[in-house]
Amino acid sequence: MAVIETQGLSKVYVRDVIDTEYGRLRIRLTGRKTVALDNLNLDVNKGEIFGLLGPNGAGKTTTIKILMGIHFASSGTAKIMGKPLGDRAVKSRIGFLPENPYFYDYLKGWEFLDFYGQLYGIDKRKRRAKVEELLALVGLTHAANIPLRGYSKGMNQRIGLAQALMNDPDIVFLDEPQSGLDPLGRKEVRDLILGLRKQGKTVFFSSHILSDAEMICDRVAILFKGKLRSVGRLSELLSSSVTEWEIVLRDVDERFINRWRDRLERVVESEGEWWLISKSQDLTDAIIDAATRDGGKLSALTPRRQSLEDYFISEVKGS
Amino acid sequence: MKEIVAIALNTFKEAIRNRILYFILVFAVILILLSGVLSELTYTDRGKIILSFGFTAINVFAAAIAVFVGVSLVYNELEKRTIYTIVSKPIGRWQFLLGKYFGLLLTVWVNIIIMTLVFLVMIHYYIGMAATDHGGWFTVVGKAIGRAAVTFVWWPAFKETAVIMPVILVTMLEMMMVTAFAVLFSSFSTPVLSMMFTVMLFVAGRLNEDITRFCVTLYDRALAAALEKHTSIDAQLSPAYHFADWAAHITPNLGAFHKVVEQAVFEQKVTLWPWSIAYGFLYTIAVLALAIMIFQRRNFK
Ligand SMILES: Nc1ncnc2c1ncn2[C@@H]1O[C@H](COP(=O)(O)OP(=O)(O)OP(=O)(O)O)[C@@H](O)[C@H]1O
Ligand SMILES: [Mg+2]
Repeated sequence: MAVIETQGLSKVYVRDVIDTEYGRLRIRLTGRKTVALDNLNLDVNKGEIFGLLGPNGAGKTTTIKILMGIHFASSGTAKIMGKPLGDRAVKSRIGFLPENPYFYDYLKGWEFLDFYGQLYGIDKRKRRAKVEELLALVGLTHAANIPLRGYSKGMNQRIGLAQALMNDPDIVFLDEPQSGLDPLGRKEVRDLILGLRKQGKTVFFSSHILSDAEMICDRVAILFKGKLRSVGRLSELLSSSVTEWEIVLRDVDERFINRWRDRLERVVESEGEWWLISKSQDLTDAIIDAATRDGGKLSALTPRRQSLEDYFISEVKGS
Repeated sequence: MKEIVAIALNTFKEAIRNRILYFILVFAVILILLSGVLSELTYTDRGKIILSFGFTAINVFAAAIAVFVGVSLVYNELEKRTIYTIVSKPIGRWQFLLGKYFGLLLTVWVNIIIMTLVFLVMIHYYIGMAATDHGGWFTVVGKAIGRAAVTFVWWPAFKETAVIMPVILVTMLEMMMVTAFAVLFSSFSTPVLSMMFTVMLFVAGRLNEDITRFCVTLYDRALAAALEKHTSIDAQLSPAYHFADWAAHITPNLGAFHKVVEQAVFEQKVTLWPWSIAYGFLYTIAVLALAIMIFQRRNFK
């Protein structure tokens, strides 16, 4: 079931071309248009971790801003949980972490979360417990009484994650949740996102850190210059692109290897094992068949997939 | 409603953690206290001078707080992008804006109350000192504080200060309008521009009745000319008239304050016109409605 749907979503920004002042005279001409998002059609299913990927300026943040009601789409429509954007009941079931978030810096950590709890209409006792729980979850219990003004970039990101979970949301929108975090922090966020899925929540997040996305996403969409390049399960996007097979054989002699040598990409012998790189599925199957018939043993067979990064680069280059 | 209250209280918190507020407040208190000392230099009408000076000081500083704290309130939320997460919460933009408004109004009103208490203590101090057997400085100050507190609760408790609280009430109503303007401008323009707009409107509001009077004069003149030359009156109305007429209608009429102060100082009584009060409320509602209309469909940065 799709919990987030967009249909033909587009956003055109109009920017100032000239904006100068000569003393008291101000000349301003608006005109240059940026198509930040061009006819985006997406469906995100309930309970999945969906990664919105793309290089800088691809339109990831724009998409999320429109979904969150910060910007209005130039055309197209979007629905969250089957309701048009801005629905109050829906808003109380979602959480949102903006890109490079900034919060009320005169509030202490717990005060800030408590205030957001009030906006969700959570009663005082529950709020207390939730604030404590979330501060512990994001590792900020020690900083509960420090004003946000004194938070580091990573702490700010963590408190941002905490506020996105204040209402125990069904869908969480995270715009680059791992930016500003150290490697350990990034792993914590990955685990946190996986934990959310385990609770049946849907996670929609944007990133350009592909290795992280690859580890946790059920499905990804790749945006480039505002256009959707491809969307699907990682296994679907990448399986068709298994590029090579690494075959490790034992108990075969050189004569056997020589029969295949010129059709193989690479051949290496090391400590009685032969490492072969094959570029085709048929060749791989034939070698394994012949080897086992000749009394050889298959020690390992590793299909080498294209990484998301290879795929990403080829997609982006191909446009 | 709960959401508006939460935002208002958070706004109040923001304001009272802002240094500029204390700066203005300390300055105001010093000035009010100084007015007592300065009035000793004059020979006549000492009471009148203290009263009119105090009322004006409270009024101007309350407006200063509304302007200085108010103009950046909404703007900062957009500039620092704190609005992003607020918008994603289950509250309407209009609730956010109203929350900001009431938080600012609360800040201004609390400051008016603080200034008024200082003012009352000072006046009762001078009244106490004027008595021949006042019983020493310490007693006078103690009594002054007590009497100020009593006056604050029961306005007509002492005849010398009976007019103060009603005038303060009018000031609070007036600030309701000024604050609405600060929020309106802040919702679509930069702090510096908002400040200029708000101050301009504050001044124009004070002059509103003069502008109206000016309009009447121009109209009378045009009427005389029309009668003399046998033309229609429209032909005789100058562009100046149209501009003044427009200005008189659009600017808030803050003249009630002036009238009340004059009455309080010179006649020792205050009449609260129900029509003025209703006008204040209606004008405020209209300004806030406009601010909400602008804010509702805005793209944030
Ligand atoms: N407020 C704005 N006004 C004008 N142009 C904008 C605005 N916001 C974004 N853009 C433009 O829209 C395009 C998409 O921007 P967007 O922020 O959505 O990219 P992104 O995918 O989030 O990039 P990043 O990975 O750097 O965060 C960019 O070309 C950007 O310059
Ligand atoms: Mg972005």
